[in-house]
Amino acid sequence: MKSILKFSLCILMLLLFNNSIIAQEFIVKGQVTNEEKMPLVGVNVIVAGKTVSTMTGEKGEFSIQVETSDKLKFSYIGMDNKTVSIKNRLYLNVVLKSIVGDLDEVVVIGYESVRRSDVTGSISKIKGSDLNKQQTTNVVSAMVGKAAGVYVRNTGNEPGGATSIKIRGLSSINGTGEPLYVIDGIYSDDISFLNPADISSIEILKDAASTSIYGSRGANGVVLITTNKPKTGQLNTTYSNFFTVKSLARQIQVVDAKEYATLFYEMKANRPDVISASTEIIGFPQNNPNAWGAGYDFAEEAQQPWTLQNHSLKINFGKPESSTAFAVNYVKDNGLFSNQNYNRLNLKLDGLAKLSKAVEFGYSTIFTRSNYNLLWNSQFATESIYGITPVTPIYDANGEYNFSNMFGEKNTFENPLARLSNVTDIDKRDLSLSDFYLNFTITPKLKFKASLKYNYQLRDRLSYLPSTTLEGSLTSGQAVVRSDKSNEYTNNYILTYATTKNKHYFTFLGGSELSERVRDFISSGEVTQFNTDLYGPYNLSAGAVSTGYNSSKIKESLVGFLGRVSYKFNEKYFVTINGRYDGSSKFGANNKWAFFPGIALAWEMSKENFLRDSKIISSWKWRLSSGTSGSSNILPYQSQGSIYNLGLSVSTPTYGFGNNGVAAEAPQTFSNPNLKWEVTTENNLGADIGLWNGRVNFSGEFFIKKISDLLVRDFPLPGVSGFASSTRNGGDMKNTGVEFTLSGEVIRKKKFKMKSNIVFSKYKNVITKWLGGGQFIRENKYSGYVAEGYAYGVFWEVPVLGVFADQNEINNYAIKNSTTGISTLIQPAAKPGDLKYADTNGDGMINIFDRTVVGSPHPDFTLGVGFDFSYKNWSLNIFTNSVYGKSVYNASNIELMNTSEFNTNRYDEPWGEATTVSPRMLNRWTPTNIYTNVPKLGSVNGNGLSANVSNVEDGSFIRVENIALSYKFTSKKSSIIKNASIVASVQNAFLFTKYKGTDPENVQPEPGGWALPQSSSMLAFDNFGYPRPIVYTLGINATF
Amino acid sequence: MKNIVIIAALILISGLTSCKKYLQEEVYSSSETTNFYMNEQQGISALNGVYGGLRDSYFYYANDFTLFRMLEGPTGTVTTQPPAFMNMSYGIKDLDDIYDTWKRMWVCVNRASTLIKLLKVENIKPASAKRILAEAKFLRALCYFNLVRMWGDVPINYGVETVDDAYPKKVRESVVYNLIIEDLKTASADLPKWNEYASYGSANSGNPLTDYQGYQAGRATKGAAQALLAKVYLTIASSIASNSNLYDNVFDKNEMYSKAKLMCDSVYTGSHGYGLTTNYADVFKEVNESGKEDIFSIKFIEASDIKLGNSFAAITGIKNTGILSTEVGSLRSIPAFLTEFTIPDTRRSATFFLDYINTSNVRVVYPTTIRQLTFKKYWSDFQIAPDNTPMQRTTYVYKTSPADKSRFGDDIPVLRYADLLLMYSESLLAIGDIANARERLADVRERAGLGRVIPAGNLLDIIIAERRRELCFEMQLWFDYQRLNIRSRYRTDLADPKFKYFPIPNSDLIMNPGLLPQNPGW
Repeated sequence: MKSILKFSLCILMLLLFNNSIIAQEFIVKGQVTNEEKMPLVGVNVIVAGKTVSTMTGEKGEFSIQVETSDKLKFSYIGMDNKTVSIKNRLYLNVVLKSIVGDLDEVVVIGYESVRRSDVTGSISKIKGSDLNKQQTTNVVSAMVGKAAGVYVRNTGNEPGGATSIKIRGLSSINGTGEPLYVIDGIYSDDISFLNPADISSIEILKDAASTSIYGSRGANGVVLITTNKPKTGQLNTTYSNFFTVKSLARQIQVVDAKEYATLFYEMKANRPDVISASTEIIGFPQNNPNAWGAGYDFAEEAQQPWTLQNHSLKINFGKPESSTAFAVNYVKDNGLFSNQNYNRLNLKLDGLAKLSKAVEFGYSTIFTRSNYNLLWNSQFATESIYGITPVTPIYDANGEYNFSNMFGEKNTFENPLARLSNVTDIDKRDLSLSDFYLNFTITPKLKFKASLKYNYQLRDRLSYLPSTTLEGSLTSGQAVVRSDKSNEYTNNYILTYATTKNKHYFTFLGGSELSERVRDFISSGEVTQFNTDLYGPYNLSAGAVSTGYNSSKIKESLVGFLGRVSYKFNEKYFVTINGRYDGSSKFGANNKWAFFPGIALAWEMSKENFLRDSKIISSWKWRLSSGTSGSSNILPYQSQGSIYNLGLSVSTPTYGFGNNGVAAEAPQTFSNPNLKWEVTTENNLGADIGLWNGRVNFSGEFFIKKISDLLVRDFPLPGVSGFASSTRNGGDMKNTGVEFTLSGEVIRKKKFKMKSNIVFSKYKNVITKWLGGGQFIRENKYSGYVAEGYAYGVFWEVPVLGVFADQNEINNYAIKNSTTGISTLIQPAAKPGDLKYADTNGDGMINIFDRTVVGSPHPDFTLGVGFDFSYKNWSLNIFTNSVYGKSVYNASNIELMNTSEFNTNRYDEPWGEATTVSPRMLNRWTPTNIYTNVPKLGSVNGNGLSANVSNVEDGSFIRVENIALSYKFTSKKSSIIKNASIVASVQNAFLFTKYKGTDPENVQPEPGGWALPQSSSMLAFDNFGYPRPIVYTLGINATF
Repeated sequence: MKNIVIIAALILISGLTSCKKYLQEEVYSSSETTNFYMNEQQGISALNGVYGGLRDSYFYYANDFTLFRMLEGPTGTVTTQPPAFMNMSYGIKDLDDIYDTWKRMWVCVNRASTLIKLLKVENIKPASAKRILAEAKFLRALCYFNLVRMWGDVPINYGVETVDDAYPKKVRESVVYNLIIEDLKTASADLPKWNEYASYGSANSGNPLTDYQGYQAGRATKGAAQALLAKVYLTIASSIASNSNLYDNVFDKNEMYSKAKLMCDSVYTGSHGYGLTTNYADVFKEVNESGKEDIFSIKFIEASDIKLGNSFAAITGIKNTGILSTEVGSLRSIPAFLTEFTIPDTRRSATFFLDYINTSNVRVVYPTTIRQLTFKKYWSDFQIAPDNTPMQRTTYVYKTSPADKSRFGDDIPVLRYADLLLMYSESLLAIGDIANARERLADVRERAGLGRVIPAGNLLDIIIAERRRELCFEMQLWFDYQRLNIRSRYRTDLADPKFKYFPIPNSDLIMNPGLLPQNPGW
């Protein structure tokens, strides 16, 4: 509220003090057109060196008071600036040329825009038109492979599924490690709700000299989204629609009933100690294999047609002095499994108005409502549906859903189909972003902008497990209702000044920013004992018992002062200095403030004499930068010690005396007044080269990025402390990398054109310091390891050499002591069919000390290759993306390839865990199949190691991401439809990989239980990821 | 231009002046350490938190019986699911049981130490302050006693206030024992007796005891502190007697035995009001909880609230009873253990389920050659319905309502009067008072229906065997075998000296080098 008052005050003062003095000489009139003689509306017309300015009207005409010696300067976005001398003329015809070539395009660099040729930092730009070559509903998906140094993935394939962007490797391990998103100046955690068709450009600030203007938020890089703005002087309507059918590319492979029964009885024979002699599968008697039928296919039964539809409508009302644009987008996406769906409604309203000659008012609002009716955590969905043994009946004798396990034990099996058809689970997310701003042109050189931004998010989760599911029947219904609300205000003031004299060009930007975020959370806890399933989650009072209800509120605030000075000499030498001084409420008393400076130099070498006349090299710019940015991405209150009430949460049991529970409190965290910013320091060397007048463009970068004082939200503490973890500055990390983009128009004929584009990125990540030795990312379960000298999250296991074929091989697996000459067996207790491990430390034993790096979740390099062909009205886009040298932890192996415990300790697992196995298990070791890499059923390993195949698999792949063919209708001037096109595309058309899971880019961590935050797991952990579909789309686009 | 300078200056000034306050954190949903422990109410609330920690270390809120599995597994009385004790490797992956137990014990210790360290005693009535501190010290001593018996040398946690406190170094067992003894001496001096609680149960009775707030049955008492101290002394003494070079020769064996005897004596003759319950099976019934045989136990309340109950009964129950959907009956006894009970021993039928209802609703009496034997100790309040009622899967009768089938109210005994009598007997034997030693042993045998006649043989062995039948499944036996160095008496595969202690969880060793070296043999 305070910030709003301040905002209005500033505006008032500016209005009062702003008086332009206008010279009274004579009036010159004229018209501004483009090269096609079309009038341009809204062109800025300024008398050079004076405060006088105007804008062109509806027919491109203008009139302005001038003196004879004056020069008029015309500027318009997307057009070359032009300066015209008056020389006593009373009417001017001015033609502005469109900007050609990348060097003159406008690039947003944070709080202002510059021309590409003036950029000194490392910034990738994705144009809206490139983004929309892929017909998708998610902006991030459309960014895959399109910018060098930016690793974009679809990590979840369920409708509305998650995506991930990592800029120049992992730079922050806390939180998600995702970059800062700035949508038209508004900070956001997410951009997936945006309609790609609303986006005019995406700029990605990669080096710290560029991100330092965002100071404490810029450590992971910054993604600036510019949405389509209303255009003055135009009235048009665009409608587009596409319809998509998805089909499964790769399924989770499981055995059929006969195979399953064979394996089960073999396991029973091998391990009588764990499966008792009397155990038999109902309907699959051991002694009568002929009776084994085809079995049951839950996955088949659960599937529905997987379709998506997308409608977008955009209307632009433009007048010379004001304009409004409205856009609406509706998406409905069904999932793979029945009753799942995701839908999203997106409304966008933008407006711009000239209040006076010097004052412009603008607003931009986006409202999105997304409903996720996925009925399930997606991992549980796939694991439960694909993971059931084919010998468990879907329906019982009465045709109702079966709740008995494969041994006929009643009420031990959570039937996923019952869940899909009976459960209510609605995840509703509302999001609204608004920006209101005033632009003051105080003098043509001096401008001031005051803006107020508001980000509101509401996430509601309503779920109900009726008594027709097993879990619900145990508690007579189970409802959970949660609501999570976030309100964030940002208020900023930006002053810019630009001046030019002779060949010197100087700009200054300075400002302040204030933001405050409050989050409220409320949860009903688990409400149970419903007397009817009738109300679902909509009448909690029908449930008799409630546990774990909760509410909380947190608040954080940030203050920043920012500045940028740019200097350019003779269009050849460039210097930019950025700086930001930020204060955050979240840090310890000693470390609230930090300064993030950046400097960037550039040299346009091609303008020097020795290259000026080159016919090949049309531009060659060197860029060198160094800067710092930071991260404050932790929850509030981490620097303070806190006491929590044990009564608040289900996970913190309290105590009772007599027959009464008592109030109890205990320390939750201890104080850490030294907690401070995570700081990224980055040096970048880049070159931009244009050949043959911009027909071929190359842009390459080399960087060294050091991240110090990494914020680790859940840095594990030794158990003796009595705390599991605390937030600490836990270590340092370094990324070194190269990246380049090469693009060119390979064929340029009148009717046929072909453009090609190559995007290459490579980085090397290493932890240079880690407090307290090495540690696993997930205690006990996942071999992702963090230790000094290794890349973050390398897979750290004892390497598996294979399976012992026979006793001979065991006897020959020995090590000879060089001094005594005595040879000892390395795995003396092994039996044929057991795993053979590498004795990496050569001590003659297999134990944990033989662990080493068996794979890395970081790719060696990524490569995107795109081709655009056009012939007359036809165009074809083919885009491939590939990732090489990355390993993936295939966690589904833990269940599907579990040879040692195959189904023995999971009799009582009614839901969640998979009980069936992979067909790869058919190649297990048996006395007649001794040369294999799958151990025998029931193999035990006494070394404290897993007796199963390794879960770390090669995740390299080449994917044909998009093939799109479009046809553009030629329109006559008189027709109602100004423009129309039709597009047919296939996404994820082909995938080439050795990975055995459904998709090497899946990231599906098991919920909860991570020792370190999930960003680490986001690297490469696939636990029954939702299968990725092949997407067939047909779309139309028409402008009226 | 001038205007802009003024505006810019205004913005900057207003920004800077309000910044400091603006960046102050406002806390809404928790208290800060710096302004807690300030008054009696907060002190008691924090003390309850220590009890909560103790409960977690014995039995976590969900279906968790890690400490039970850890301590009963090696006694040869129960089958344990993998990972079995023998396969324990401190290596690649810490065994969940070990790490969970370790962590939870330390949570309790840290809560107690922080309370003892930060409690603003001057703001609290002296009597209340004294009692809060005494209870916290009792609880801390109990945790340390478990820790030192399970892991040997362990660090001392004095209450972690900053990250530097979080990495304490290991100290010698003797240092830990001295801290335990000091804490228990304070606790036995400052705590009221059980029967003082029992007889002055209501507040505002005019009795000085009711000056204490938070007056509830089940809290630590003088008797509990004395009995625990007796156990500590007896543990030290008998360990020295059976293992050489223990505790850096800080303690004298004979002195410890006589102190143990003295402590047992003061519980036995101190007019606390303790006694044996007439029927063994009734000891575990909820009506007798906090009764005369219960010196100290971990309290649970049957409630739908998962935070107050336990699922011990369900876990140790019979599969397919419908009591609990998962893990039903997964904790089972070894059939051979049944044969250690003679037929007249009333503890036999109170300890084991000797019949069960199968999935076809037929009651089956276990044959003599049973393969799976479940135990009934924590099921004492549940009965099988009379034979004339149709058998259902939920035939077991719940005490109150079957509202939530997994959250039972059975307490987990920590110190029972029968245990004290057997300790008394053992320490009397050690100092040569054999006649009284036999009497106290006879007290326990008589209640079990075995009469007062002590069978012939080595009296210590008879006491140990008696403890095994009396205290099985109460997380006591392994400590007996360990202190008496008879680990392999019932489990021959545990002869290796390394089984004296559990391995220190590897992840802690890596994080905190102050814990090195690992316990011998692991």
